[in-house]
Amino acid sequence: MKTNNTYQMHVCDQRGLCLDLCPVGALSRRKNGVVLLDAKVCVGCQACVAFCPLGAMRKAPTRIQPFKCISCGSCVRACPTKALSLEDVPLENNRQDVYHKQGV
Amino acid sequence: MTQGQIPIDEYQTGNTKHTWDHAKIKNARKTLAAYHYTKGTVQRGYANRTLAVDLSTLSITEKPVTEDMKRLFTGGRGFGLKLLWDAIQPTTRWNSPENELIVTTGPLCGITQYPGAGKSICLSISPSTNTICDCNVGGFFGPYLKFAGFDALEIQGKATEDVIVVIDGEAGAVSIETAPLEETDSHLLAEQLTHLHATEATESSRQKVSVISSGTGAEHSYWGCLNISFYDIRRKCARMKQAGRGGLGTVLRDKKVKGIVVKVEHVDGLGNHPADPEKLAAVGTKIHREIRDLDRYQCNMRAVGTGHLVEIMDAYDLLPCENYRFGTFPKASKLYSPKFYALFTKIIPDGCWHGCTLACAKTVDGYTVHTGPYKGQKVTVDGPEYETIGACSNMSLWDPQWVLEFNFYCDTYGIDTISAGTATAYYMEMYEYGILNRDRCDGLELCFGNAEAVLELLHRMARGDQGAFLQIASKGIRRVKDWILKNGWGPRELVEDCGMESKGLEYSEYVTKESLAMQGGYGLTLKGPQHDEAWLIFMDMVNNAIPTFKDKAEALHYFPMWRTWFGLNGLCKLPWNDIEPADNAQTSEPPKVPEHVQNYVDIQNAVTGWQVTKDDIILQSERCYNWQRAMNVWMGRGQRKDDWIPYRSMGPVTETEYVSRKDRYDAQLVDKLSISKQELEKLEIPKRMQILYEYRQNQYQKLADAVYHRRGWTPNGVPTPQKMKALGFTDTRMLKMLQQKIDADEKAGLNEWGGKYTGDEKPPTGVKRYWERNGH
Repeated sequence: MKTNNTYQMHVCDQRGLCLDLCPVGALSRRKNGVVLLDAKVCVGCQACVAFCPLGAMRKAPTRIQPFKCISCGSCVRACPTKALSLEDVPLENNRQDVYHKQGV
Repeated sequence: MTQGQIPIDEYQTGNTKHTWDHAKIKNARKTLAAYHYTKGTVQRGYANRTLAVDLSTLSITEKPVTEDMKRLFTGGRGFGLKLLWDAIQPTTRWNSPENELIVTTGPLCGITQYPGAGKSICLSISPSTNTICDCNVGGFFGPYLKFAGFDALEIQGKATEDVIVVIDGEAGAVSIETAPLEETDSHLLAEQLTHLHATEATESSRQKVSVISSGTGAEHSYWGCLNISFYDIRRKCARMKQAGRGGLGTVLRDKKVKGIVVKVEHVDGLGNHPADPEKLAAVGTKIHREIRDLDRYQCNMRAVGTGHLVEIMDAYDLLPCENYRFGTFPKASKLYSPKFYALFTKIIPDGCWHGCTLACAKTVDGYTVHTGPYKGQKVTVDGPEYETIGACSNMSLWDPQWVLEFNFYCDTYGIDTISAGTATAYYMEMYEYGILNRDRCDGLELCFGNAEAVLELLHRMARGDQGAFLQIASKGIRRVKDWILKNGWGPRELVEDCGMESKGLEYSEYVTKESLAMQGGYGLTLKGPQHDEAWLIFMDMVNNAIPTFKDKAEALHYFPMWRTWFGLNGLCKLPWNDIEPADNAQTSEPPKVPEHVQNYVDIQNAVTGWQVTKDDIILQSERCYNWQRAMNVWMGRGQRKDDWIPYRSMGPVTETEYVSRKDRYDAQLVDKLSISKQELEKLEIPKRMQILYEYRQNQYQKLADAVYHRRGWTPNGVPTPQKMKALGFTDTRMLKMLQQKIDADEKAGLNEWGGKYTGDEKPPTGVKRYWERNGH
């Protein structure tokens, strides 16, 4: 996705709004900040898929549980032209912004 | 409380913690009956068998679900009606041993992809109405019952001592066990049984248990509700939804059942084994997005639940205040949703079943109880929902803290907040008029606004107080009316007209005086005055979209049929029209929310693999609706006389009410009854009230005529055998019974229209026994 003079990837930025949507606690934040989905616990309700403001939680046709980017970096390693990098980006007003706008 | 992104393990409610000696409780139990079954899988929404437990004979059996049963009754409430028909007699009453308490699911129950898909539908013969009462309730029980292997559960007979029924879907076992040491009140019992029956002492294990319970209040009143639990892994408590109406909890306790426990081995997104999971996920994701983007501009359910209605009802003169005398009140803003929003715990998935993003099941956590046996404890209060707040405005209680107190105790005692609130409001009005007084009320000072007295009434009821008033008051408005009249304490018209009950059941919390269609929505119903059949006030009163009797009758055909459908499938009504697509207003029929109706067609097809259309799903409902009405007729409770409603729901009973809306009523006398302004001024208020009374009573009868005709019933409100055959029923016992009733009505001269028609007005048809004509 092109924005101004740079590109933005359409992937999870680990902001974790989905954490508060999961009825069964299948989503959790690891110590390193990455949000993980435990497919064994997930009940496939698609709430996180639909509510993600980035569209970063996705559903594949093969199974009911969704999937997301876990910042593992394999795309960085695989990119032949080294166009990708994994960076820490601070999120501002995460909570106010999205909780307010999405209802609580 | 801090909000958002709190790891689940660290979440705290601040509630009082309870510990019980589990081994002691378990050791005190005796197993009275045990049954092992072969675990199966749910196929396309059906477990394909039902479970029957008889507490008298201690038998536990399975029954197959036939294809015929699915075709004619669909599931859920439909299955419940079929099972009742096979089990009871027309003379069966709520406390007869053969009366059943039935919990059903429905083919869409338990899907997680579409919001509001975890409803259990409970049925029984109600102590309030002496006929069938059905309640559609959230919580995990329905989905778990199905995943444990059964589309429905029937409980018949009566135990001789307190028991629990355990359905263990993990072991494939059902048992009846004595329960001498278990708690009775629900906020304790649900937690206790959840902990006792969870396979492991983990939150996720507890989440796989659901409990049905009631309470001590249900033992001593006709208002017993069923509490259906859903364990909350964040709050770490067993939360509850209520099957409130009609005293089903009273039936549960009369059978001496303390609790029904169901446990499942595993929950995943495809437990129903739907025919087309992709379609299901796609339709579900679409509506979740609508909720994400639009709920905050529409109903704000995710923030405040159904309580958002309080300010709307107050603004439109529809909020019941002081026993429905008024529709608005100067203090009402004290109960507006922002007041409760401030108290609710926020940013938690508050659905009563997985995947419900409408999330209306709000709670106040760490609430300190300030009266009664649990005084000083900190608890989670489930709610309040709109109806509970409305029940409190009806009693003129304007402090949110008292609303919470009332809400908490009603729930834990197993008492329906609606019936308790509406009835107490009536007792308060009678108290104001001196028809009741302190002596007649066992020392309770039941004036409007006396919250202490309201709570004291509940506490005494739960203790089984033997006072004369308590004994009658706990049985509801109908019995109190009879008691007042027998004692000659008040004039019949006032006593009858003020008490908001129909068929013996208390009204839910809307003022219907200015909407004739809504009066029909309460009166021309199956179980009694509950808003779940039709809510037509805005269509009728505000938008004037259904001006003629024919229009109103069409609405009172379509909407009750449509809303019945949710109960056939194990669904909640709210995601149908409490969230609407952005372009809904531009569609041809906005009140029907056509896009959502199509969603429901799609998800029923996606689960069952059928190929139904919008018309087919109405037909599914029509079968069930007519069957239930026919059963009411069979039990002597489904004719025009039973669709009587009190005048308080039609117009001003007292001068105070008339004067409070004098301009409105005067204008109607001029516009609708062609009384000139000069003539009107000569008339005293009581005379004006009398004219309005006769006019509105006749309007209601004319509405009943139009509705009965539209539904294909006789002028006395009886479904005809011809209609039943057209719907596909061939049960000769049913068809014969209906013919006999119609013949008896004919002899008694009851097959005549009820309205008085003058001038150009005509009844729906002039043809006698029109239903016998071909093609009708």
